[in-house]
Amino acid sequence: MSKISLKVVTPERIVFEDSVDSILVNTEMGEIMVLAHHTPIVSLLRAGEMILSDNGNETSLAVSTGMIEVRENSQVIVLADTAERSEELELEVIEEAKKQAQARVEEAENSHNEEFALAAANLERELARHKVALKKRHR
Amino acid sequence: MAANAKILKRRIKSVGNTRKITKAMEMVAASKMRRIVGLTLKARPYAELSWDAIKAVFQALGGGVSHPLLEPVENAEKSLVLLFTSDRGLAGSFNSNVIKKALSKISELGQVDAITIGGRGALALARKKISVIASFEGFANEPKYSDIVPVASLITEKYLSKEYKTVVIVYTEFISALKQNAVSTELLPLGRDLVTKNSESTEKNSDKALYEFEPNPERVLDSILPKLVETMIYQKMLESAASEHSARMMAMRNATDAAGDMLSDLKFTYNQIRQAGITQEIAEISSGAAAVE
Repeated sequence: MSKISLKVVTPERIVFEDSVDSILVNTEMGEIMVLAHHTPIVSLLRAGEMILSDNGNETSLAVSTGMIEVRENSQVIVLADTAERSEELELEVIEEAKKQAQARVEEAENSHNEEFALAAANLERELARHKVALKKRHR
Repeated sequence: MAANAKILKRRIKSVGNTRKITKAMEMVAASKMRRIVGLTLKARPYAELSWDAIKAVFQALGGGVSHPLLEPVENAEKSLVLLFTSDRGLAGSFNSNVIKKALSKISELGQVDAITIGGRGALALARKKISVIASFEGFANEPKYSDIVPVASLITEKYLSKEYKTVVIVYTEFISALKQNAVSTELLPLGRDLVTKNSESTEKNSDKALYEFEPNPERVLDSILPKLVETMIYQKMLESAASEHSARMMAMRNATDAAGDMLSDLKFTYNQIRQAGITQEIAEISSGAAAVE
């Protein structure tokens, strides 16, 4: 089975660079699964969990907003604002951050739109991190 | 004579202590510089890949690309200058060079507001009565991407509200540990740079397959361009920080060398005085003994 060569890049570093069989990712238009020889596409990411599988082994990454670019000849590039592997996440820290984000959303609910949108985006990112971190613990 | 030797001895000690401090500062600056150069290299792929993506969008849209961040603002008078300096001194001519560059650029631009990163720049511009609308500090020791996000969003917001005709960054380019250049470059509008880069790339990759865009090319552009502004500012911040630390490293190395020279000079004089004292004492004793005989 032919593979995809995947690069996950954030402004600060390259988080992941390897070949995988498939990528499951949340985009603004819904969840998509990318396999080898996918048609070239550029799509905007939503904060969420990204699941890479390679020979049946699954790796999950918590990514925030950004974009995914599928090139010809099975090259995939993910440009994300932040991305962490599950090993890098600490559940306690994230739970705290999640609580704070939730509080901020509730606070911002009554204020103007922009602030609410920011808070909501923040919460979404923390939720994604939380999900990935929980998975690691149950493994 | 004895008092003189005592003063010299005290000076030798104090110069020696100063040399220890400058030596330590040199080593600290060197290790910080090395780390930041590493960060700069790590940040490069993201910027390159963003450019690639933007080129793809340009191709897909053909010539008809328009976005407020790409267009110059027609009827604005003022310009915005983003100045990178260090928070602290003792970095040789690092700050004075970049501030000189900024002031010459400002006089060229006419009416200007400024945003400063680093305390030195804020002070220098305030002294020249240039309006500083925001100043940030404490970035250079541990530059993080999240630091510049508020800076970038402030700039983008101001530009989109059509207050400024152009946004210029003045920073210190890092060429090597020994060589840094104060330069100014235009951040916004992004268009000018992009159009030339784009015309090169379309010639090269015109046979490449076209992408599909989700939800549509405009939305993709909308989300990439502000990110690109952030990335560009982040890179300038890293370069400026690397330059600052290497300038400080060189300044401290020079200071250490100068202290070393001064020490050996002082020690030589001290030994001369000490020897003169001993010689004189011997002469006194022997002449005293001769008088007794």
